[in-house]
Amino acid sequence: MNRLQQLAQQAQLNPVQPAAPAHSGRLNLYRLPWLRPLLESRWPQLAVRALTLAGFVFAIAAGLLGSPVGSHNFAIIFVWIAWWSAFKLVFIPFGGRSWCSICPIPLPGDWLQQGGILTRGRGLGLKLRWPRRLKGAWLQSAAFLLIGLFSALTLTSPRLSGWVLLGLFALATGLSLVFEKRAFCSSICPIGGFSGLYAQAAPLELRVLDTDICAKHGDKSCYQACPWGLYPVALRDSSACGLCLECLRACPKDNLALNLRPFSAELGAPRSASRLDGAFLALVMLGSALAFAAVFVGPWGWLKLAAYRVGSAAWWGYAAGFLALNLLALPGLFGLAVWAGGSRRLPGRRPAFRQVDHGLIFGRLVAADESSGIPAQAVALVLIQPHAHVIGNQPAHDFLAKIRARPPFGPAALIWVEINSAGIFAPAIELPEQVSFGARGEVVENHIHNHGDAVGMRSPHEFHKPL
Amino acid sequence: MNLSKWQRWLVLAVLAAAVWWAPVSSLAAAPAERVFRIQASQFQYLPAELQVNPGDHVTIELVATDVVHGLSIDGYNLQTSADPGQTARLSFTSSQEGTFRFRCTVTCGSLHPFMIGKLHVGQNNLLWRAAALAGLALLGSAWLAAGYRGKP
Repeated sequence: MNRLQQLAQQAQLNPVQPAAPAHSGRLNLYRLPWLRPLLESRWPQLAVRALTLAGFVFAIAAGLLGSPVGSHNFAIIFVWIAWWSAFKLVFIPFGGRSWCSICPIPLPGDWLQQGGILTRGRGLGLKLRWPRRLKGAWLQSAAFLLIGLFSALTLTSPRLSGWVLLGLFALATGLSLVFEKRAFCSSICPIGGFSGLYAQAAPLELRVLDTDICAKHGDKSCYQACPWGLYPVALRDSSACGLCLECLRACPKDNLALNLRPFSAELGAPRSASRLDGAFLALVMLGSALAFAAVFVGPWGWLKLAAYRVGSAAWWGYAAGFLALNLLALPGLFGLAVWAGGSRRLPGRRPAFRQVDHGLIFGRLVAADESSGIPAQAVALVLIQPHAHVIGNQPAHDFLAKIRARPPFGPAALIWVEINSAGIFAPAIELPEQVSFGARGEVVENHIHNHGDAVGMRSPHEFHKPL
Repeated sequence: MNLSKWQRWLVLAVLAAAVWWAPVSSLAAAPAERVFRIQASQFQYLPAELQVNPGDHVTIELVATDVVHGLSIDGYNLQTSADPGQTARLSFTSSQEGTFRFRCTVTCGSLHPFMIGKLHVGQNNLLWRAAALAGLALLGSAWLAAGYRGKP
């Protein structure tokens, strides 16, 4: 009896028992008897996604048809304040890309592509391959910059917010009818790029338990089932995985794990990805955070008006400054630092430059703290006083004054930043081995290095061929 | 000096506690009478940053130049508002040390939620302590990493 037969027999005897050894230092949530049914069934996830889809459609309608006053409009309050705050303060720190698993934007496209909601039919669409030169986070960085240029207007104008949300919806659905898998999510969605970067610091990961089992499995059910086009064996970090859990459900060998792990476990780990596009995205987010903090919570009224009056001479000046900061100043400064650090080679060819995303996750958290304060307070206000005008009326300000008089949010935000920054200790601690690649570990690593990563492989079978 | 894993963590914990709770002596000046005249327009205060010492008796004269604007100060639980062309006054004693935002209390336009100024009372020790802790986290991580390099 070979090992696979043993595993199959073991799984039949007791399907809850691990079919392969668990990753040391990790808690496999998929093995928890009370949680497994919830993860295994598509219904709970579908129910949540149906709710987010309803909320998203309502936000579009409210933005386009509702009150033109931003602080009275659902689209502004619940998208740019409530959702954005929850996204930054809860989803990303604790779940990495967990929002992607319930995001409503790709939902209609998914259904059309697979020809069904819970089951698969013939499906619609051309299913073309996404152009190779457009892969990576470059378009996501561009999308982030584009939104950043108009952020003061988008965040305060319900009409524009409605059109932006509708545009994202239409783009995601349209692309899913032309390209295979989730082209929009993988290569364009600025939020996906943003959360993918931080997913490397989150305490949640999806990993294969035993790569030998995958190598011997002919169907590669996980790859076929993944709406992102990922092959789980090749996952080096969590930046690309949307945690939809379709691979766990599809794997007949029960060979996948949804692990709870230490915070920041991937940062600085030698096996994690090192990509120039990821580094650039990190710099863009840092630059954007600095600019947004100056515009929205800084005391400079002229800067707020410059960012708001799109098309005016002042706005062109703001746009030029915003782009220069993100495209020239920060990459230039960092390149200079890398060069001064000892290398005479071009910064772009330096692995150190590519690792900037790891270092800047910390820097970005510090910068983000400043801009998180107002949304966090407004969310508390909305939840406790749903009929208040949020910002602007007397009860609202009395409430905010009470909050600030203590003030729980300032120190809480600082402590939160400190907790996050403490996460950078994690790689330094003698943590258990990150991912067990088994006896073929080196082969897998070399293959990743020479043939690319988990994203967009034509055939996962090639992944297991010896070099 | 070869310290074990737990000794290094202990050293860092002690340093962190010292940074957070260490008493800071403030060279406080004698309390004085301070009067600021602030012009409020969409969507800014001029001046937007005020610097006072702890214990000063502060009077803010708020002048609205275009539409109705207000002013409330975080942490001090007081506010006022001024009609266009009118002046409103706010007096208080700067009893709490730190940096506090003040913001408009009357919806005055699209960017009203972001109409913000800052009141600095003495030194912003919270900020410097947080910055020191962040620096300690960075240095500490390098120290811990150096301690474990080469270990199986």
